[in-house]
Amino acid sequence: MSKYANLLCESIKESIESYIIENNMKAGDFLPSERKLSELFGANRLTVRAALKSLRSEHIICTEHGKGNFIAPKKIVEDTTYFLSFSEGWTADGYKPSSRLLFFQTVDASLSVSRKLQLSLGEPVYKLVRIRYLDDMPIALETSYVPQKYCPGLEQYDFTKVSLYATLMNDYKLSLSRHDEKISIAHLTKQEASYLHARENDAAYCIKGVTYDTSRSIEYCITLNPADRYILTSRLQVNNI
Amino acid sequence: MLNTQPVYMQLAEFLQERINSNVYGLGNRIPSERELTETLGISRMTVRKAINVLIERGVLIRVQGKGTFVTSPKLNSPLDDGLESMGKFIREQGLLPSNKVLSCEVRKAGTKYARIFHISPKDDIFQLFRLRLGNGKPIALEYTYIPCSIIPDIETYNFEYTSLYDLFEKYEIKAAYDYQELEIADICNPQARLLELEENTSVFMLHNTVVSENEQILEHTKSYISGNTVTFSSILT
Repeated sequence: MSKYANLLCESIKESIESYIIENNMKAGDFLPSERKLSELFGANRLTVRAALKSLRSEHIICTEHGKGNFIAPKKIVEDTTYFLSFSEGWTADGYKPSSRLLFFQTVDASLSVSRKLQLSLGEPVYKLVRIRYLDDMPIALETSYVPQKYCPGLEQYDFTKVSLYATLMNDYKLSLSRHDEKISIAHLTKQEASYLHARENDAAYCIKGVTYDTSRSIEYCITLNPADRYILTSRLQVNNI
Repeated sequence: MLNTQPVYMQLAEFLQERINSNVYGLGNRIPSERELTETLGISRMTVRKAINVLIERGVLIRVQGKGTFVTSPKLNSPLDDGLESMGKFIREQGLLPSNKVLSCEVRKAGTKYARIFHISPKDDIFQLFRLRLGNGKPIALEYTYIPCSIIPDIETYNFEYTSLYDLFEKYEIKAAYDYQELEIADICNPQARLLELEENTSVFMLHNTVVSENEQILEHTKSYISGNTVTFSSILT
């Protein structure tokens, strides 16, 4: 593999990104045609095409058949440094959060759920499945499991209107102090895609997280966020040991 | 005053002196065994013994077919400072990390990187493209950018054997924090081929920005990571 080819594609990608910045392009604005871009950067069309393909795969531009390439809508940025409940985190950024309930019942803890929550197999857990929206756009499909023994009576709450974490902390006096997450890449099933207004097999972040009250696991949550709409950020402090 | 140490030890100390005073710089090749034999009038076997002492110390590393290079004992240690996360990530999977430099050069910042580093588009930046491997298999493809003002002679280092963080330490550059952005992309060629993945495989793309105490942007790296899982731990406020 020629290093040169790699370099070239990267450099044209960068030129296109610089063009976008210099021309103050916004979401929905159309880029010049492939031919115009080749002329502009003095590069051959194949290289420009490869660069555009790469920018598309990184969800920076989108293509509309017959119309050309345009700047993709701005992605939702979720800061994972500090853990906040859904409604708390997003309202602060000026988005309007909302939820739709898909399922809320007590079930028997499956093997994976019992392991994550330090329970015996089959212990009763509340299972809560919701679609999360920001400004009416679906951004997450969330499944939460909470052991019934920590919060009997949870079924009386309407979790499309109140926060699960706020309820666990304020009404059940649980002190949620730590949250660990594992993030992997998943591909949406047909059902998941329909809930998220995405296509079957689209890539998504699959975030599996456990929230703790000192040493006890209180909640296990599996979240799917469509890849084309989302960036996860984090700030790591350097430890000077 | 006569030096009564064995000749190979004297030679080892001589080479160590040159490494300490940067005559043989970090990541650079030392003279070949034959060159040392000829210039110093010492037997080949003695030269080899001296080099072995320094390899034991973790200061030199012999690369088959290429020569002997100056390295840092830290590169081979299981302990990592907080920022060398890719090397750490690879080691945590029980794999031996190594690097392959695909390209490195000094170039003008241009619009995009001027914005990222808060410098002028005409300022020089150093661009380093590397493949990060574990047990010889590609784990990540990294595009690293550093303003030349941070480390002026940066292009003289051999990044196959030098770690960026060793360099930061050497120049006493202190990082305060890392800002990371994680995305998912469907990888295209030539990146896919370099990572030995099929085109359009979904991979993590990580943008890492290293910031100093006075908010100066020290480094920006974009990585395509093969393999599937990342762990974040966060504190509930």
